[in-house]
Amino acid sequence: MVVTHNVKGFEEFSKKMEELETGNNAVHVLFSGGKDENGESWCPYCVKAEPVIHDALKKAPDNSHFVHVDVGERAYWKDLNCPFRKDPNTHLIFLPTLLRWKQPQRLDGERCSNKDLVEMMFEDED
Amino acid sequence: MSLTLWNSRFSVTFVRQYATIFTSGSVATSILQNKFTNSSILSFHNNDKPRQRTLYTMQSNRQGKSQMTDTTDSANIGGIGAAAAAPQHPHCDRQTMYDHQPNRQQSSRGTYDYDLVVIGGGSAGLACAKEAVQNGARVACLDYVKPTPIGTKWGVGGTCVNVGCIPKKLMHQASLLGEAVHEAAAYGWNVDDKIKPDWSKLVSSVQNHIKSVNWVTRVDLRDKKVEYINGLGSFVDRHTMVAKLKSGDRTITAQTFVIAVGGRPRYPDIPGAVEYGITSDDLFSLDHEPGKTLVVGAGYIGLECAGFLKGLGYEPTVMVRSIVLRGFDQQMAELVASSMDERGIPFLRKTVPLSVTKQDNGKLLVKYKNTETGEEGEDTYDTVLWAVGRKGLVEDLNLSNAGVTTFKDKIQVDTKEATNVANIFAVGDIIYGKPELTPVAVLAGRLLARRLYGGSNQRMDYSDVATTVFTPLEYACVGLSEEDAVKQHGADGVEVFHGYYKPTEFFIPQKSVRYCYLKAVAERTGDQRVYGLHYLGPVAGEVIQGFAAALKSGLTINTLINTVGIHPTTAEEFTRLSITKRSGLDPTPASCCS
Repeated sequence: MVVTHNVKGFEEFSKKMEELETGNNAVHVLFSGGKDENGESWCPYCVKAEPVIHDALKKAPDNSHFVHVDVGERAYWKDLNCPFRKDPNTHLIFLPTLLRWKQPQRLDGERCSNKDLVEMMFEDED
Repeated sequence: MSLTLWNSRFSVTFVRQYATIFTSGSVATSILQNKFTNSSILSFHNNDKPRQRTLYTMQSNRQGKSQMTDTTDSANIGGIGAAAAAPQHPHCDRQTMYDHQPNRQQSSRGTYDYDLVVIGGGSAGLACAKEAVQNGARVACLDYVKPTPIGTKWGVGGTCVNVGCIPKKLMHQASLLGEAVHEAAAYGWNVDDKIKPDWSKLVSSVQNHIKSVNWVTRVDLRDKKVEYINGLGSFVDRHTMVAKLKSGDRTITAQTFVIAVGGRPRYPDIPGAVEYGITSDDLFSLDHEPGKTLVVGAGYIGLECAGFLKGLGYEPTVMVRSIVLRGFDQQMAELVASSMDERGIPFLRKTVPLSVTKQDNGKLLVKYKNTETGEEGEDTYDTVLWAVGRKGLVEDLNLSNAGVTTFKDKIQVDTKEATNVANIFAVGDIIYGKPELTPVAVLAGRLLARRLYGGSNQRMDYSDVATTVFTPLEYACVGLSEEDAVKQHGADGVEVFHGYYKPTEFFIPQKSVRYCYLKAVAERTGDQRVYGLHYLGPVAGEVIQGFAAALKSGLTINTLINTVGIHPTTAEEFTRLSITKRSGLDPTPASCCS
């Protein structure tokens, strides 16, 4: 079973990664735009990617972790000094971005809603 | 007046660019007409006409296609070229490149697993596979890396990405940055002059970059629907291949095969070479500092490795059997060697290694011999790096099963990259007698796929390819070396314009300008067409790239010296060439700057 975590904002995210990176299992992280009170995200590609990614999660290795990061509101993300953009480990340019923590595997934008590529990401052994 | 000038220049360009690509004069004429047709249609773009152009292109593609599939005799090149419709310059017409309908080889469907199997996922193979898919073919690409004797292996992408151009350029950059830090003090920066490189940090940064390129390549293949097979392929017959995979053997059949397996470094046949030596395949991921290094071989790979090792603070020595930078202009080659010698890289000339043994203290004892005097010598090193040439990877392919003949360890192809077997082609470093360069492989692979599946008949032009040697002082060139120009046109038919120059940035840190030199090798009379350009100095690749386009467009000395330079740059020195070698005048500049 994949262990799923939901965090909100940069501080919660950093703390969660510190906790998870001590383990030996792969950690996949999805960064997406924050949701309003109706559960709707302001980021259309994130909305499109979410069901594809959650469906593909069954392909991820057992005991691996999946962290869904709510990056925050649009204005916060659009600020070029947003910590998610500046952090050398995330270095985000697009939302959504799906990556394997501290590994080369990374998909962004529309590619996050491509089932084939998302599955490849979860299954990739290199 | 200006129109006449344009016309005459155009025709020069035209003859130069297409004479080598198309063997038939009538094709050439129709291209010329097409070029005009195309441009006149282009001017109607605002009138909603581009659709019409696309249709026209599709028709000509089909025509070309039927001509090509009917012909299986790879020797019948002139015939195909003359009969087929002329291409619509696909490289500057994206509409033509991607929008037309798939042009599949109908005959193959149902019979073979794939229309095309590309063997080798390097620069040539990937370009060819992706382009073939874009043109409607069903394609698989095999890639497999045999580990080096010390166990180094890497991912998809081939030599350039993993163990060639990319890590080389990054380590060269690391070395240049160290140099820049020292210069910074002269420019007023307060820097600690005891800077030290961290080899393991450098290696891990370089390897991380390579791994993300490997990942992006795999994503790109999946996205473009090229089936990537991580296996070692060998032929069973001309349409069948067996791939050794992790999970066992798999038999694959295809209408067409493209061999793009590339090459790997050679080891010399002396005791201890394989046990104790490494090659460029290992250097960029070496898990310990190289230390005092013997670089055996003075081709561009040997010189580049020695150059960045020196810049990173290690002590390289270059062992040269005969000449430096074989195949390059020898005056420039000797200047490159001298510039390295000036930086403290010793060269052991006319010397060959005899043996390598490991001593109790872990150091490597290398015995060697001077081939002229017969005198023997020895020294100890931390690392011995073989850079004595590369061999084509024909061994594992079982080419005889398919009937493909080899030449030395390479494959000979005709001007359409066809081997002696009609359905088997070869591109990239595996082909005999062509420049072993990534951009050459990429373009040749792409053009091959377009000819196979896109109805094109444009061929690869292997002439006048620019290249750069990334030594500490870089050397870039395009076109003929001085020797080759003299060989082809006679000493009396060649004029060489040359000069030393002083880069503005070199004055303040008092860097040596002794080897900043450039020359243009040109026709002596008439238009004084430029045969070759050679530049030794900073950012050589960036300087020469644009001039390469000019040379391919029929550059003359007159055009060159009437081009206004960008000041202050080093590239502008090409516009200031006024002294000929024949005049005997001093090519060193008198004063500092204009």
